[in-house]
Amino acid sequence: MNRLPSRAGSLLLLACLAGGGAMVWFGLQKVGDPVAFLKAIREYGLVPSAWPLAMNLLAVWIPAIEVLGGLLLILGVWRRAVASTLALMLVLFSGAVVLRAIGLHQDLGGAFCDVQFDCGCGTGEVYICTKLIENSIMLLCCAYAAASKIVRPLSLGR
Amino acid sequence: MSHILLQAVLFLALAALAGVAGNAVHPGGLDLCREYFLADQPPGPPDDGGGPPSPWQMIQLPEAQAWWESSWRPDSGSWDSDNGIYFLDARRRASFDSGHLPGAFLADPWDKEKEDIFDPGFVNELQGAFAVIVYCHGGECDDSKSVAMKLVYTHQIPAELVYIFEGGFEEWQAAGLPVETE
Repeated sequence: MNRLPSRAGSLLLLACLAGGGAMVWFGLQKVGDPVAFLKAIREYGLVPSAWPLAMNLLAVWIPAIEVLGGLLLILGVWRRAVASTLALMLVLFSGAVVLRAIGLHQDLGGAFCDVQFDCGCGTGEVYICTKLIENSIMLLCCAYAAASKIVRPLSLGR
Repeated sequence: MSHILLQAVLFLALAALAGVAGNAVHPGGLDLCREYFLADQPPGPPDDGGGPPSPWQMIQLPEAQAWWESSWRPDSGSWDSDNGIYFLDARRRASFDSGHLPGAFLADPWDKEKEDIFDPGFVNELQGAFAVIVYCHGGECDDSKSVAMKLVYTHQIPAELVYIFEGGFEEWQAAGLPVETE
């Protein structure tokens, strides 16, 4: 007998669709222009430019993680593992974005939320506070999808 | 817990495969083995065994315009071969095709189809140049520096012949100067 999903199930479904959809969208922006994303990675200085292969691989790997992870989250396949990985990535990326914004803020002065730069997120120049709010919402979705142990409605896997 | 970890590892491995495969078929993809940011770690000049590279010179719009006007023959649509002035466009092909300085040569440092962005015959021509002016979009664009690095350190074009037009195509276009499309 068919039953309507529980409130927790609906919330989980919503978190997966919203978090996964956002991940796919941001990932596709990066896939569309690999050169721009490679330049953004270089700006963060996370990988020494003496390791070109590592930097180039990262530039094709990260967007693939976002697109594939977003799709798996939407489909509900390997949900907890994928959501945990995406949540961890979001924490690391948000940390890197904040550090870069602090550096720019020290150089430029003014209000912290007025700091605007291309964070390499695929959407061009953004205000730091707007970006952090976006990332926090995605992080909440991924963290909820990772933590929830119930079976998700409309799921192709577990 | 362990199966979640295993799934996460599998997911990351699949994403790596998908990323590399997608990049291979992407028309604007990366050459994974290429060192794109030569300007980050300049090799020292060969004669003194190290130290900072010989700097190319930065030029502004009036100088770029004067050189272009002195060499470009609009009536024939060709360069005055006696002057030996070359303009290299270091933007992507799509940008180049939608508009560039008339007579400029495309030198896209991100073109993964070409092992080297310069043909040997063209390098020979450049070695006898009076000036090689490289530009990209302008502003914070640094692709012109990548091309200048390749010219000087890969192809031994004397650094004193290499100039970077700092304002780039955006400044040229904003000044209402002639633009050629493919």
